[in-house]
Amino acid sequence: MVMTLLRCIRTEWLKQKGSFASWLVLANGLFVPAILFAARLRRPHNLAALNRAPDFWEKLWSQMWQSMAIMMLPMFIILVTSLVVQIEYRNNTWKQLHTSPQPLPTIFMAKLIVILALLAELLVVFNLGLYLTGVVPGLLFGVPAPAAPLPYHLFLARNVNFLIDALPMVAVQYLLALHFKNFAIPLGAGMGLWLFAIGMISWQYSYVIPYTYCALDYFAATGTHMVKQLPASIQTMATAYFLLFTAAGLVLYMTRKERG
Amino acid sequence: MYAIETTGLTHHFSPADRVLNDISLRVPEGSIYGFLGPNGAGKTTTLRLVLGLLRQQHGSIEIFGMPLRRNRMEILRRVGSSIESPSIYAHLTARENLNLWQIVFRCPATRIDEVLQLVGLAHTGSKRAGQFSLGMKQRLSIAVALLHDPSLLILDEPTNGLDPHGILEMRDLLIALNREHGTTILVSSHLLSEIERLVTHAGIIRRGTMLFQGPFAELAEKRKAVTIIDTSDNDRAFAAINEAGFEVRTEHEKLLVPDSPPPDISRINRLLVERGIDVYQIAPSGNDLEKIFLDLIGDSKW
Repeated sequence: MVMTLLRCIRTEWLKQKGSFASWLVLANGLFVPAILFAARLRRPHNLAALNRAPDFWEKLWSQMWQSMAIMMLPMFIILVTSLVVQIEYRNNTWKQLHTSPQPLPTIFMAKLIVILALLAELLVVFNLGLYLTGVVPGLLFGVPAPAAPLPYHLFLARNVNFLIDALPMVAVQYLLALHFKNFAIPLGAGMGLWLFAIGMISWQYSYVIPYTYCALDYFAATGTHMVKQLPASIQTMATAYFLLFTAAGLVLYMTRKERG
Repeated sequence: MYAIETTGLTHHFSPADRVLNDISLRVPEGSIYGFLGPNGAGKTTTLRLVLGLLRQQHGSIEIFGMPLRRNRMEILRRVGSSIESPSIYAHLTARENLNLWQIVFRCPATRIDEVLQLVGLAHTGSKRAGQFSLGMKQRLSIAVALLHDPSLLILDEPTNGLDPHGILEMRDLLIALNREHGTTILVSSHLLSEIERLVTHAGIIRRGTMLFQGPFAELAEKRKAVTIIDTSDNDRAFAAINEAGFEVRTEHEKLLVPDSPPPDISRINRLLVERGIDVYQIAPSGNDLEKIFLDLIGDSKW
């Protein structure tokens, strides 16, 4: 069973080779770091003061994660889940996949794991971009490296939190992408839900909307609590939503009338 | 023993649209079974049901003597298939495509070269499958189906997109697989001429109903030659021929008598002329297999 799942994950991962989804990881992960990197190169006279600041990494993290948590990460999830699933629709390969000796839950889980792996890969690329944005501009202009030590543990914990915050979005988008052959439907629904979540972010019950968690967590990490009282931690709610939507997605996938 | 046996298979996509009606498909083990019917007859729907791609509504499906519902994994391990248009990943090369299925089916990596060689795609190198011609895509799809050396091969219109040479190669390949490896092959087509020199058994379907099923020789037996007679007064001619002791029947406003020796034909002609009936035509029937097929599916223009 485990070996079948591992083999299935391996094939799903190989399918992403050279696909748009793998390029999206790089493009999305390096977009914000590239902008900040370029901004720093344009104002080299500010570098010395920036690098001397004791909260250098905190500020850089906050600057970079603002766009990432609120916009880039949701956009990435909406696009990448659709792309991973669309590989089968576009190539007319669902029927080949469903006539292979692989249990349906295994195929479902393997694709989901690949999406999560791509999400983790995005965070790795983004964090690498963050580190290079902090260090390289100074090196290029002969400015001493940032004085403050890199808060590895804090960054790692926050990354794990964002990964968990993003899980409900992954589950909902995966369900939609599996259910609808038309690429525009999960994409449109995802964008609509994301815009709705952003519009409702300051509502006292915005935590009921699973697309708000990354933004809520970002604001909380920077000291702004958009919701005064949460019924549970964001990560607990995100995990619950993820399990709920994953189960719903699996049931819908397994009970489809047509499998290719 | 049947490799595939369906009983009372009925399917509808909507309550008013019954696409299959009580289909009992019986594909003997070791046979090459031609599943024939015009476009839209229900061939692909039947094959999709047999492969579990459509949810079964009525009837039962047994493959290798096992119910499909309860033994899906075990059955699919021994089945290779290519349904409708080619199923290949366009952004990957032929080898990369096969590599995916080699991992899934746990077959030796050397099989990739073997099947590439077998379908004539060994030279494609780093070319992505999306850049292949339709014929090449079809070959790759068949290579995928053959990769794990299946006991049962289900191919839906496999010659689509192939040139005449490719069709001949495909036929030779399927015959070789059947003879050398004992592979049971179920191949669908809407053209009898394409598969008549390939199959050992046939099933003919029209509008979701099986019209014929059995050894191909049985279908070929229907190819009884007849003589067609057309006259100025076929009713009187019918009576005259009948009175003379010949078997005669009417079809499409012409008279048909079983293939007879030349003296009998001459006698019939003389008989008609003597009775003042003008004879317009006495000709052997072109009752070839294609016509039998067209007659069965009710598409004969003659």
